[in-house]
Amino acid sequence: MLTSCSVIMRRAFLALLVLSGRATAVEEIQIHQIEIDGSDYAVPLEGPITVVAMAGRLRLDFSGPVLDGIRLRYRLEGVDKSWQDPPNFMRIQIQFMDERKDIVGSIDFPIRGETPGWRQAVELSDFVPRRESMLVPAMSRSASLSILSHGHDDGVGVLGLDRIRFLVTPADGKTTKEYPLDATSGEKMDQRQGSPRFWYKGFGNRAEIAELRHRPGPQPRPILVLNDIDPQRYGNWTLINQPLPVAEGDMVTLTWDEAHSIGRSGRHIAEYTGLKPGNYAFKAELCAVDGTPTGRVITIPLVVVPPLHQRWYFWIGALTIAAGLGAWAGHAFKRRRLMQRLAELERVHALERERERIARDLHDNIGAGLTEIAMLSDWVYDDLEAYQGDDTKGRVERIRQSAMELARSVDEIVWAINPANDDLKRFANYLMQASSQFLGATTIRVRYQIPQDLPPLPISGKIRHNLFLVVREALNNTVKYAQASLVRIELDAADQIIRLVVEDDGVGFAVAHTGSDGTHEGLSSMEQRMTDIGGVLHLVTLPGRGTRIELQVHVPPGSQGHP
Amino acid sequence: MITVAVVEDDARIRRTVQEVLAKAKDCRCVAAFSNGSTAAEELPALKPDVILMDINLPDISGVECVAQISPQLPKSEIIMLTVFQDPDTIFQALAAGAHGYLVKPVMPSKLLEAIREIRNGGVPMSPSIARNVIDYFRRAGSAQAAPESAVATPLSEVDPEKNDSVLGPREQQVVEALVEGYSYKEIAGKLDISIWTVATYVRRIYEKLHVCSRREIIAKVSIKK
Repeated sequence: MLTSCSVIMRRAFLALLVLSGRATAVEEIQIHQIEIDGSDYAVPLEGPITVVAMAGRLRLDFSGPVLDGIRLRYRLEGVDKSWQDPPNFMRIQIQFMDERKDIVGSIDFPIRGETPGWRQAVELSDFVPRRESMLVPAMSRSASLSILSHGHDDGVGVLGLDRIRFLVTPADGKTTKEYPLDATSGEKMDQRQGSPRFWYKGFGNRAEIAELRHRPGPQPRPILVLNDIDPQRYGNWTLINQPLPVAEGDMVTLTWDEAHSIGRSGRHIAEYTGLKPGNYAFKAELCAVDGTPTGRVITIPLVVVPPLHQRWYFWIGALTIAAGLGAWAGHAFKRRRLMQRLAELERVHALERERERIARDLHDNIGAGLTEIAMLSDWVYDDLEAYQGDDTKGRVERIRQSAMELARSVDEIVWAINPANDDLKRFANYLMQASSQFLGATTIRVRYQIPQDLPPLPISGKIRHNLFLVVREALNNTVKYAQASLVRIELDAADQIIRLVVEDDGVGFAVAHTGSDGTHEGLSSMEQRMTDIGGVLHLVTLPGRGTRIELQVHVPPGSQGHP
Repeated sequence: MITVAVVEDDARIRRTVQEVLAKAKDCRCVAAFSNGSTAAEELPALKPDVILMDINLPDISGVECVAQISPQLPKSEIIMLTVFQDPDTIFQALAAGAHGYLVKPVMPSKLLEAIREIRNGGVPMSPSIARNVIDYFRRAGSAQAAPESAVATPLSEVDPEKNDSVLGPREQQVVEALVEGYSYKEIAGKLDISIWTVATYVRRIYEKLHVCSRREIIAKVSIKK
């Protein structure tokens, strides 16, 4: 009974996805492949196709022609609120040169997507201000500026720039020199292919992509535009004969107003996860490079049908007969449970991607910011070395400590969240890395006893994180109280049981006194963590005999919960 | 004067590192890059003594960037910077040609110390990296012993002096001790050699790793073609 139950449960997780309806035939747009949960489906342009699959992941591989003036967009109606562009970017580049004009540094500011208030004609669109700064690298004597439409392959789009200012602030911060770099005068300034002073378009491999346009007003303002209609070539606006003198340590700031709509032509893959039952339509459209629709659209209707209705009814019916129960209440209850389970499974894929995303965001934003705080406060602390007996020094030290610990916690959380680490081997690597680094800052030596051939065992982020935090707490106690000279860390696994030992040769303590003097207050939290993951903690210690903590946890197969 | 280049996409960290280098009397920051592909293009001409390379870059990864530049810059030392304590990625970077790594937050004094140390020939190897090294050479060794002739050459007959895919007995001893957590100094005592000799063995292990993984990359590329 139990087995058959689980089989039926698993089947019920399958959702039925029906691709139906007639795809509008637009010759230039091709759908190369539809993949649903890893299986391929042929794409007939006529007639419906029926697919039975788990609607966890939908992947569409499609393309438009790679021709001048054509851009490809797509959307899944029912999910995407607006047209989506395959990723592409244009960029503004500052290059730093030494006295021989050799490049000694460069920085790119990528420009992506579409600005709010885009109105196809770039000169009529709303412009958005932007500001970027950089410290001038050593040996620099001058800087130069380029605006490039060269991003991804098959990239197209339109970019307009206005009010470009280059600001140089020397290290003393007293005076800022400003260079206005707009295209204000030059030859044939009323024409798109005019030549403004200081700006040169010859470095791109299709010069006429670089254009001049005019923002309307009582006094029309000429602006620099990259009108990249060519998927294979690119255009540049490069500053020439306008030296921007800089010196090491200067802070340079570039400000400008931008309006843009940047996308791609060619081939692209769109992916969707966790589609709920309902009606959808996948659309791919060819538009002009500035986003003007051309009406050339392909549509593939998609219907995600709630999973296996009939089998549920059959199952519920059979179960009812077998159990001799006919109560409607029972039906409703079981069915709701199944629906919940199903929804849960649909979320699993989405969840995994979400875990990856959170890990990345934490790492990029919070981790980097804390790193900066830690580095700067360390520096301030060194600067304060001269001021003896100053309370400020102590406070800066606390900022540094706190930032470092937070950075370390973020690192651990990132590691715990990332599903790529759900494995015993990677756990071992991380444990060694983190503990050797932690103990490396002390005089305590460390010995590892971890077999080179650990069994491949999946461990969930929850178990990994808790085990790791218990070990860290144990090492903390050793460093703080044990007066130890050596720590031994053992890790092994057999029959799905992970065994971890942390042992020191320090002073030990009397268990009965735990907590009364404030030491080893972490012990109960360590026990709690082990209980949370269904594991046990053994503590062996005596005054003068060192401390040994042994952890054991049973890892059920597939404990990470994601197939 | 040690010339240093920085490749780091986070503007805050790049700026702080540049400032740290600017204050140091014996270092000079000669270039700073915000992305991997520009760095890969420009760095070979600059030939800095030390390159500080972030692992997570927006375009090509730091690992890929190292793989591209390190064959062209035999005299530059590459130190990876990472916010992320990810031993597997760090190992990939070391195999691709880096000689060291620092986990952020790197304290300014530590950063300069690491730069000076690596210029003086010191190369660190943590226990988890050593563990990956053992795994790596086991695979490399067995992959080499297996193909071509039906009679595989036993590993013991491969001359480690002439073969980059196998660690010599002393190198093996050193790396095994590192896995167990021994410091260079402790290993020197254990094997009755000087601490400099230990460092030399570690450097040679890194060199074999670079040669070996470069060959692997070339092999992969030619299979694709």
